[in-house]
Amino acid sequence: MIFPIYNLVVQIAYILALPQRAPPGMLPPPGPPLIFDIFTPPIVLIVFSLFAFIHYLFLRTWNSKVQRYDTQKGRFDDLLKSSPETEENSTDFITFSQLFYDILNHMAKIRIIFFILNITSLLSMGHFIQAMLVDFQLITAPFPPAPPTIQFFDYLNQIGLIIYLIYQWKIFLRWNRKNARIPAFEKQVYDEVFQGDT
Amino acid sequence: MPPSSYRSSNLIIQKILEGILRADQQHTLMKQGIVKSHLIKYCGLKAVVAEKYLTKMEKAGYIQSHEEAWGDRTIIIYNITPLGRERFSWFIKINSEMG
Repeated sequence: MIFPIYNLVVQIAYILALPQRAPPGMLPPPGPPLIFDIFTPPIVLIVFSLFAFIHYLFLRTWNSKVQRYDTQKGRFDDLLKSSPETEENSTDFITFSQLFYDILNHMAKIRIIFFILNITSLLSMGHFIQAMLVDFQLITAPFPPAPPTIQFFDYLNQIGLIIYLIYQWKIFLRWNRKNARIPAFEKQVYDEVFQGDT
Repeated sequence: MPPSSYRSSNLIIQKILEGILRADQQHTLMKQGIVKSHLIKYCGLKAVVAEKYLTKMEKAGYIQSHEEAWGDRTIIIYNITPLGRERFSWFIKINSEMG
């Protein structure tokens, strides 16, 4: 969670610094900012924030369910002791199975955003490399580069981005490897229970 | 049948197996099994859906039921079979491997 917040701050700094990069009366007159310069920080900001926010919301909800699951032993005892004829309708017990499938469904959804996140990361790295090349005077940009302070924080941001991506890729690769076994298991159980229905 | 349909069915099946096993672990009123109405409440299912799944699972050999006297009425108790226990243990194994 630390990296997405740091990344958010850096991208906001880039956006805020954009008008200051071409002050009036600057000589020689700068060219118009590239679309790449204008849109990269907001895109990186939106995609990373969305990815982190969805993850955060899910984990917060899921952790509260886990806590409820851990503390409902007494309620389950009460249910077992209650009259079999109680007219109470379905209860809100948290089951282990539900917790498991909640993660599965979340990972299936977040996978799409993760794909977009990877493309956005390339955009972010490209933006950074362009700034570095300008700094080292290997290319000339028509638009002045961002202030050195922001570039320094972006340098740290790119290191964090690589570490963050490696961490996320490890999670997704491990998840995909394990996840590959689930459909076969689900199909077998389904066929055994519903055989003859289809 | 799309994977999502298998998934929603599997969730209900695993919930039912889990409910019976959990009752076996706690067995406050009886040593084995769980009363049908309690199982339905634990799983949070509608009666019609629960009836469909319980019938199918019993036919598949995952669970078995028997009637017991309860006052002047009879209640249905569900137990898990070795096959049902094995299927749930697969599920647990996959989950534990996910870490």
